[in-house]
Amino acid sequence: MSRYRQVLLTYMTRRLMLVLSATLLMGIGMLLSHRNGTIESQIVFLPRLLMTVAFPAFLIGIHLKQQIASPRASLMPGYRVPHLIVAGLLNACFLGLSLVGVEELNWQLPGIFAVALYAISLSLHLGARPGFVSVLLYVFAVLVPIVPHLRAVMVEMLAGREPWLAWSLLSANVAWLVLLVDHLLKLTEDDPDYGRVQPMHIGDLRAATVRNQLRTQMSDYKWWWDWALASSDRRLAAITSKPAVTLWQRISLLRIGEYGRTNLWAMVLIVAAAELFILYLARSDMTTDQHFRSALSLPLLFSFTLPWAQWITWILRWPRLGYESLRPATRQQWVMENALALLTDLGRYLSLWLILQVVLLFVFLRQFSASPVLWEAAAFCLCGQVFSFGACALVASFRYSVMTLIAQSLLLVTVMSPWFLSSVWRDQNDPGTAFGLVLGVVGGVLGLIFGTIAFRRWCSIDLP
Amino acid sequence: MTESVIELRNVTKRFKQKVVLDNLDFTLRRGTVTGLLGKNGAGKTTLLKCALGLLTPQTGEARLLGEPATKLSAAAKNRLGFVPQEVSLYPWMKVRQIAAYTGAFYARWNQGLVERLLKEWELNTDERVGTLSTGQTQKLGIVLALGHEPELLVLDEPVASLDPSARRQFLGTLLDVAMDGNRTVLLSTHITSDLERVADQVAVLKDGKIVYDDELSSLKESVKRLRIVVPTGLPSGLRDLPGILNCQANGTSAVFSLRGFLPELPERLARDWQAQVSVEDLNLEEIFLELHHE
Repeated sequence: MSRYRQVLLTYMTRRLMLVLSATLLMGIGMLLSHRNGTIESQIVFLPRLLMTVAFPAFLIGIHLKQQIASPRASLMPGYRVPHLIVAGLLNACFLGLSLVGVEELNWQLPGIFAVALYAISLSLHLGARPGFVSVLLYVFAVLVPIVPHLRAVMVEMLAGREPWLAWSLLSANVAWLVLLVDHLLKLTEDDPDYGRVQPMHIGDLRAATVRNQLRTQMSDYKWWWDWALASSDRRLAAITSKPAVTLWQRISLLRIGEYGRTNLWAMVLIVAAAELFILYLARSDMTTDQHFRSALSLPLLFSFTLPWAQWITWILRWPRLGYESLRPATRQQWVMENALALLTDLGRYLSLWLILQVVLLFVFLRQFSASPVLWEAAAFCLCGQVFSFGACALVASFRYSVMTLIAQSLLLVTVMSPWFLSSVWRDQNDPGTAFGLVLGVVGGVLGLIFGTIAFRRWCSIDLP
Repeated sequence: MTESVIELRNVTKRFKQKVVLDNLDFTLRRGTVTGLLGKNGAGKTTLLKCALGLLTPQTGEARLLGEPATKLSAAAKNRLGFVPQEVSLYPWMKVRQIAAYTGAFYARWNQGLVERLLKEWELNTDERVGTLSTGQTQKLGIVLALGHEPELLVLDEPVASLDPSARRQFLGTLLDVAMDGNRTVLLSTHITSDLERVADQVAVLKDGKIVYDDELSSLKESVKRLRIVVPTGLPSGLRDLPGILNCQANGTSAVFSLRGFLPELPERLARDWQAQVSVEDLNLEEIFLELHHE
């Protein structure tokens, strides 16, 4: 029993349990606060339940993988099973939240279990075994509540009118989890997946740790790396053929340095494809400006994930920053040039995103091309970008930890809140009010203030 | 030109409640190869990072190449090379690419030297940095720090991950660098035998302060081990000798080490205590152990 206690302690010593406990309490609170209403209206609260179970599963997945992908797991007898059992029990606690849903919201057990278990196993995979398949399944999971047809099927399943679907999904999830457990039980250093361990704390970013993880991946997928990096190799050769004298040359150097990790082109295109899918299925449902307004939430949210993702990858550079800051430039120059490098990349990603949005608008929603909502969205997007960039820059100036990652994630939610709040305001008051726009401008001003504070902090903080 | 390239005055650095550097003074003189010695956790890396301006001390002042360390100009950084304890480079770049990439930041870059060192140190220039071993990455970090032929080279435990042959090559290169009288090298290491080969100055960090900072030869002259035999019994004042570091007494004989050794001391002890006294020279590792004897 003490072995299991020791395993449990590994969660409690990482502030992880604090986050998990808070999530659990929030989840219970949210579900208990919504007892009445039809199944269709309660479906609004399903994403909240799924986030409550998915986020801890993701963290548990990362933590579990850190424990299993280590020499200890291979050398210490009876090491892996207790770790897997404790992780399973913790996830089972969160799965138990589904029972609250059954009790309070009158959902049917197989249906809600199937949905919650899907969220848990998907997030567990994303944490423990990140890969392309998990990301695709994640995109699908996000689409289900958004696309009316898929949402209708899910409602039927939750209501208990599609039992075969519920049981099939449940069985598939159990099988998927069994495969994951089997994989983790047999994981050795020979497996390329051994190196795919995600950092959760500054200590996880130690050069030796990261190098060992990368070595496994890069050795096993050498051909893939060579293929994927061929264009970067050519660009690098062109950029480094002469000393970087001008500001633009130095910015180009800084941009290409991180190219391997901050390449978000693929992300922009994948999300655009997802939007295309949604619009294709849901375009006939959009008849009013309010519908159009709701539909813009997703692309807006995605646009804000771009600066967010950039700063997340910047945080991962933390161990290298001291070394890099000693290249010939004053600290102020170095901070400014890096900020400009990030902004240049952000500008390019946003330009592509904008072009894709315009194309989608004219192909599927031409009737809204003169809608005032469009201008409101454009102004909100601009202000939100300023807020996101400034606030993320400030959060990133604190040491990398679970807390900074959570703060970054909260920022992503915060930046969208004026848009949602203004929708609620419009439903209840004058539809012509620019409430959201005012909040957006406030956010933009806050972003400038945060950005200024961040710049000053980056110019003076201790670097590793 | 100032004589000191690094100057720390009354520097105190705390991490939360833990005082790592305690009102520390340190001067690195131009043209020297100085070894920084200290136990694990003594604060060697913190000292180097304060000197480089990466960490800001709570009190005191750090200056590097005549400028405040936390406000270094680009020109000063052009004259500075640094190899951190754990070298972290862009994993996706090839060895030759990271060399070219680093070189592009500097106004002066000796590509010939870099290529020669990469060849001598058997680093495959077409290999991606991410697939290099710890030791190979360390070697690459050293080569990159030498490429712009810095006036001041700061190395934080540079040979910890190197095999004996690579260590020997590194020391040879370091000696070449040091041959130019204008160059200054500051390196922290645990491998005292390496320091003995290359360093002419030694600074010993203990309890947050520099407890010794002088020439290596002076240190060796200053710290000695004495064996003493007193047939009538050891005198009670033995442990009160000034500068005594470590004393193991056994009946009529004792072995002790002391700092601040004077050539006339054995003769005086033999005369005063009717004793047989012999003196042993210590190597740097032994001196380090004696200085840290609790």
